[in-house]
Amino acid sequence: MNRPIRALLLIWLALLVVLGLGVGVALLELGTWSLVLNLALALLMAALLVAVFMDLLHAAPVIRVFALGALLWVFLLAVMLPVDYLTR
Amino acid sequence: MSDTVTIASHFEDAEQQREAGLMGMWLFLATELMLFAGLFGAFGIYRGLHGEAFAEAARHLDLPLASINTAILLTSGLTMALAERSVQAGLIVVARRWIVATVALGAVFLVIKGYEWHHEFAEGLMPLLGLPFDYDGSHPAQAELFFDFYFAMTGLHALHMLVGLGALAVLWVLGRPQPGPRADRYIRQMRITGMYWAFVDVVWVFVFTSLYLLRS
Repeated sequence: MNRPIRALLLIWLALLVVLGLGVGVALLELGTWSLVLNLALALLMAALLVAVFMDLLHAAPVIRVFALGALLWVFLLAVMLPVDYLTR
Repeated sequence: MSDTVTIASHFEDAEQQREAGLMGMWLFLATELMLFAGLFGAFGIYRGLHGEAFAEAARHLDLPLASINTAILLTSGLTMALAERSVQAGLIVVARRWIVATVALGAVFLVIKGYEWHHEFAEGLMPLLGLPFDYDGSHPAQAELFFDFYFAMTGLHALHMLVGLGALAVLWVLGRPQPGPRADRYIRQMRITGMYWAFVDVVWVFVFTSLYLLRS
């Protein structure tokens, strides 16, 4: 975490802007579109936090493998859970 | 820098020692991710089954207050990053001030969260411990399930915040000016605590989106 202060401030501002967008999209109540957009914006915020504040962007390869492994299990859950319910 | 670093006997060099700490934290956070993913998975299934009822129940939550609280938590992520940056630059006194700021913002988040919970309790929207559930919408049974999820998710997140605040308090105490060899250790402790704190932010982003924003 030896990024310039300006970069950290920019990421923080970007997070607040995305938060504002998310709240705006939710208030518009666009039904399925709100769902899709809000989930996309949440993923964007998470990506910014993980890349910069958790410093995955500059992490060693072995650490990226660990992070990827964690994501893989969540991905399996996210795919197999609906498959179970949709095929009953 | 490596000549001032104390390397434990089971590590080959300072770099390996540093990365082992980070890897351990990532492994721990991966297990945390499993825990929360199970909860979010269950929520996702019921959100799919009772979409209309859950959206209606979500509109009973205080979105403006939770949005402000989210901004506060994201700001605490920034102050934590600034604390890490300061300690790496050798500015331990400055870093400790940023830790105080992070703890203060985290505490404000929990106070606001507590205020929200109290408000929901007063409104009869807290279906916990046999409390009556007094809901004015059209799907009370499904709304009760929504509020079960709401308290489980926000409660589990708040518990993680408390652990994080405890870790930050320990860092603040450990951060009194110390001789060189331990400064490197302090930087590593700060890094893994910062990762935990950022992870708590990530979890909140999804808690906030799932419960407060999916209202249509």
